[in-house]
Amino acid sequence: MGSWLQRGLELAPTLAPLALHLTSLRRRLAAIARRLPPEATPPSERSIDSLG
Amino acid sequence: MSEAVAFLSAAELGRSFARREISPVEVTRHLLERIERLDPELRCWITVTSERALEQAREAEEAIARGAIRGPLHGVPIGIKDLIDVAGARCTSGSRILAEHFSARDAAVTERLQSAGTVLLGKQNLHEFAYGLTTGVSAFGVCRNPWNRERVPGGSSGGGGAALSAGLCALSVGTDTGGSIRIPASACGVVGLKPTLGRVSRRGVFPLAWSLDHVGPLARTVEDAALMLGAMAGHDPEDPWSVPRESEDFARDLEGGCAGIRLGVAPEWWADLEPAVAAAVEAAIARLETQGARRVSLEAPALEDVYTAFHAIIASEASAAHERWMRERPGDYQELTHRALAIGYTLTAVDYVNARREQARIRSRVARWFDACDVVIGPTLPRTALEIGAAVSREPAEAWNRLTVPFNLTGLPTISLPCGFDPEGLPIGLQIAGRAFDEATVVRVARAYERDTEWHRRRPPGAA
Repeated sequence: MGSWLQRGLELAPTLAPLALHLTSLRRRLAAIARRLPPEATPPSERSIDSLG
Repeated sequence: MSEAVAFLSAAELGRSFARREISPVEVTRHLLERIERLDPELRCWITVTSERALEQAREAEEAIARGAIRGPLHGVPIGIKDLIDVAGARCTSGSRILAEHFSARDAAVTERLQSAGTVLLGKQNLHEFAYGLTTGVSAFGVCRNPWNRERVPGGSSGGGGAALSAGLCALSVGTDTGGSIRIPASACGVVGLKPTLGRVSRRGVFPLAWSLDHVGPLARTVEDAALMLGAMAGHDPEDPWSVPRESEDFARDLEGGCAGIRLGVAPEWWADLEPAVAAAVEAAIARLETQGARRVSLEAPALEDVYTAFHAIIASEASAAHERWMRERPGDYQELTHRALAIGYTLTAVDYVNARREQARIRSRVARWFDACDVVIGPTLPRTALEIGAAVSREPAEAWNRLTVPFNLTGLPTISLPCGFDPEGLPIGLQIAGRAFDEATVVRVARAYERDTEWHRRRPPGAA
């Protein structure tokens, strides 16, 4: 956890110009998370092959 | 040698070499001379492998003279994006971090193109680590668009697109994670074909995002893109994402026309197009309709959700790929690349998993479109080439690549080809996507449009 927090502090100046964008991204990801049904899964390893 | 030779298609060059009408050595020498003359300003190339190219061209010429022709691309001069390994050559990914890195082994795609008898002119410029849309961020200089040198060529495979447009090679190898083959194709007025995910091996290609990365051709004609894909594709057991399918003759039905083809259109995705882009794409669809194609409307997933899932996946995976250098050499990245890579550290594992779950839902929904249509058609980019240095938005409604990312998320084969010019003389691209592994239909429809138009024959000012 300490390392994770340290990384956040290190990157804070780099991320500062993106504050509005990151807020927007978090809001949109939260909206997706609310809508996903429990049965939704990530793509299976061979899912693209099954579409062909 | 006539300057027109620099703009012959790869197929025309291959046929002329086979008939011994022109010499691969002379064409290679001519292109190397053009690179020396034009590239100091355009910056399409990071490394030019002149000696190797001339040696390969001599070998090709001798083999062809003996009748040992390896295929339609034997002797054809190509460029390879500088994040793809070529044994013994420098491979920088456009970054100071790898400025002195030399590849020990060929990438799978390099091996296949060498087996096809192509001649490697060198390694092409790219947006640093392929993480950007302009090729304006590279440790090896800003790449410029031959149509207007104050504009970007698009990216990340910008060197490949610009080099084709300027007549500095006959084919380029690109990679496409969020549009990086199709964006430079559109912005530079050439053809870019992103194949189905897993169709072309990624072994020996520096990753950007494993779930989204594709390798594919850039060319000046649809036929060239189809021929080149034929040489690049095929199963590779060393790439876990490679699908167990052998390559095909993707040009087998190239002149089949588009009578009876159903063109799917997703108008909700077309908000805020530049007027010239909207007009050119509508005109292109109308032209295909006159050839017997039929337009059908599709209900599309919200572009905001598509772009958000895409962004969470690319940001997470790219940051994972760069974890060590982000700790040890953060100051060696270009500032904008470092900022883009930092975004991944703000996302959680839950965000990433949910984005992948959303990707599966979008992929499944888009796959069902093909019950109602044969291809999906629309603009490649919402506006033509950006000014060098212009800000590039990551907001879904504004992002320059918002129309290309859906086909990375779904992995479907997608082509961009020229369909007009804006009032400033900048190229406009038409994007056509198909069912998984149905590249043959995608190139057939693209060719039906291309053969009915002259856009692909125009040359940038000062290049001819």
